[in-house]
Amino acid sequence: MMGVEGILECRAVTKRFGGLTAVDDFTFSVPAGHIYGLIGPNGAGKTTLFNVVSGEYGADAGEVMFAGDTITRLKPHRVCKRGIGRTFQTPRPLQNISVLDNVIIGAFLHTNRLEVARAEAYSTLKLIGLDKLHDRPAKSLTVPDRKRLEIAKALATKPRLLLLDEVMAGLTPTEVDELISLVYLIRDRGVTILLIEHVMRAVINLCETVAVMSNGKKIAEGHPDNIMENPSVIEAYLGEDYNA
Amino acid sequence: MRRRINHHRETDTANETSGRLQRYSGVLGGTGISRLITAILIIVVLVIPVFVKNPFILHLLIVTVFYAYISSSWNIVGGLAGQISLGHSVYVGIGAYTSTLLYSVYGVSPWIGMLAGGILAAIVSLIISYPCLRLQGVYYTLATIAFAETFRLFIFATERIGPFHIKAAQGLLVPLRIGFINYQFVSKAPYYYIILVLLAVVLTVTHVIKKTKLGFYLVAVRENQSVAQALGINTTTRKITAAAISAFFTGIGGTFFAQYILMVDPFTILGIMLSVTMVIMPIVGGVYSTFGPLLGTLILVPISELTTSFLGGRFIGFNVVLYGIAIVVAIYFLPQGLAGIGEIIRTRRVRTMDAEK
Repeated sequence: MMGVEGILECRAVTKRFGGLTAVDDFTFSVPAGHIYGLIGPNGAGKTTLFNVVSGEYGADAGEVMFAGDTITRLKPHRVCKRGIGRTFQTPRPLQNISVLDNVIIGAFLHTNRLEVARAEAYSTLKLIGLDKLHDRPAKSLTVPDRKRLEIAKALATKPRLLLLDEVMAGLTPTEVDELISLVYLIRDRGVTILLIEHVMRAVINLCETVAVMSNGKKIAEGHPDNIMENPSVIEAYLGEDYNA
Repeated sequence: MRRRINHHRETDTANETSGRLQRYSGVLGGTGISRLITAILIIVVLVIPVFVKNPFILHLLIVTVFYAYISSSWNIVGGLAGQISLGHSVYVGIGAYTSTLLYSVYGVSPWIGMLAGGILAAIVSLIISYPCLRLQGVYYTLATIAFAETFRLFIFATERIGPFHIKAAQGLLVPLRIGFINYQFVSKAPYYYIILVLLAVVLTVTHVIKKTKLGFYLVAVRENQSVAQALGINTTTRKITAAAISAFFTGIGGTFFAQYILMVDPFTILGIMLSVTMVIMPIVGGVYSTFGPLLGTLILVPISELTTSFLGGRFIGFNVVLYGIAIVVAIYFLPQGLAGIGEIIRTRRVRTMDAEK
């Protein structure tokens, strides 16, 4: 597997905001079909990295390659068209319209016809488990359902790579398990998953590889089991005093 | 104004109830009774000029429908796309001046001039949109005001451009020549029917857009631009498209107005007051609804005209105060406008039903 390019490649990506370097010379590679985790303490720059990949921010240095093409300078809607879907850390449903309409908008990426988009959206909702609520206004959904809707919207655009930003946050253990199954289901349909996560149970269960980010830099990378024992990782999360 | 409540029907499929963006399905949807009422209303509206000959009343009707028409045209970019343009009178002016100049200089029938005016307005909207739509929210609105005022001052100060004598502040008179091809009529009735047809056209266009990809995409742009972009929507092109369509229809309205009052001048046709009026009607009536602008007009215009008649000499400009009050009331109590009342009632009903479960 070494030497084969990943579906997503970040090479020396750097993003600064004035004096703060949020992402610092970050390099990693996500193999196709993988579930790859990005973890690290709060403020490490994980969401910023997502925003650089998805085109919301422009990188100050480095390159982002997707399926062999350079996408570093592309605007968000072009990145989506290339096949990268994303969820937002705080779910952003389109509040005043129905659940189904939310997903229809995503489904319109690949068709011009309402009937086709509607059918696609409905089957996506079925997969996600929200089909019974398709007629509800999005703002009336509970928090776990909003997270599912967030995933459904992105999934409707038929991405090859899905960026999940802390989807497990605030969920009960049962809800986490349900979402873990859902993520596996999505991966089994051929979607590569890159996720930012704090809920360790999800990281350990889902991720084949994990990269640890702290202060914008990558400080460790490897299998979740090994990563947890890594002294620099422990230090990053808990501070120097806890390093045994 | 009724909508089927489907919450208790668990087995509803996507086909029946969804893919309808309108929170208010409008007079033309719904059950048998509302269809009957609608049909009666339409017939009444159509035969009014047969029975009513009083020119003042006909004038009032024409003005009302005209405002409904240009408000509905505005709503294509203001309500559907969520871009509050406060400089839309510039398109009314372009339509009016284009058809009038083409007619008086080259003798081109104002019917053709109307289309030309609409197209020119759309082209100008592309020029204005390009810098303006990069700006968000309030800044976009300010920019539209700036463009409109600049255009007005330009016309104000310009005597002629090439063969076209614009006559600056004096304004233009439309050469009087009665006849269908000259878009001029002796009685008011034909004007009434023309503007009615135009209103029907723009309402149909609005309704159709809402059922297409453009309509859905515009909702996304309006609700949350970054989400829209993350879903692959080129928000700028969509906004520009909506703005151009809106400008086209608004321009056509300008020609109608010029042909009706047979005069075109920068005060009336290019003022900020006209721009503001075009926005207040939809806000009061409901920007998210196809019929919202019409509703708002039906409430505001008659009241405004009547107060002017009754209070005329003593409280000049009272209708402006009225508009101000209407806007504050609408925004405070009815954020979705009058059309949103249906939504409020339904929400209350759903809450009661959910509570009963």
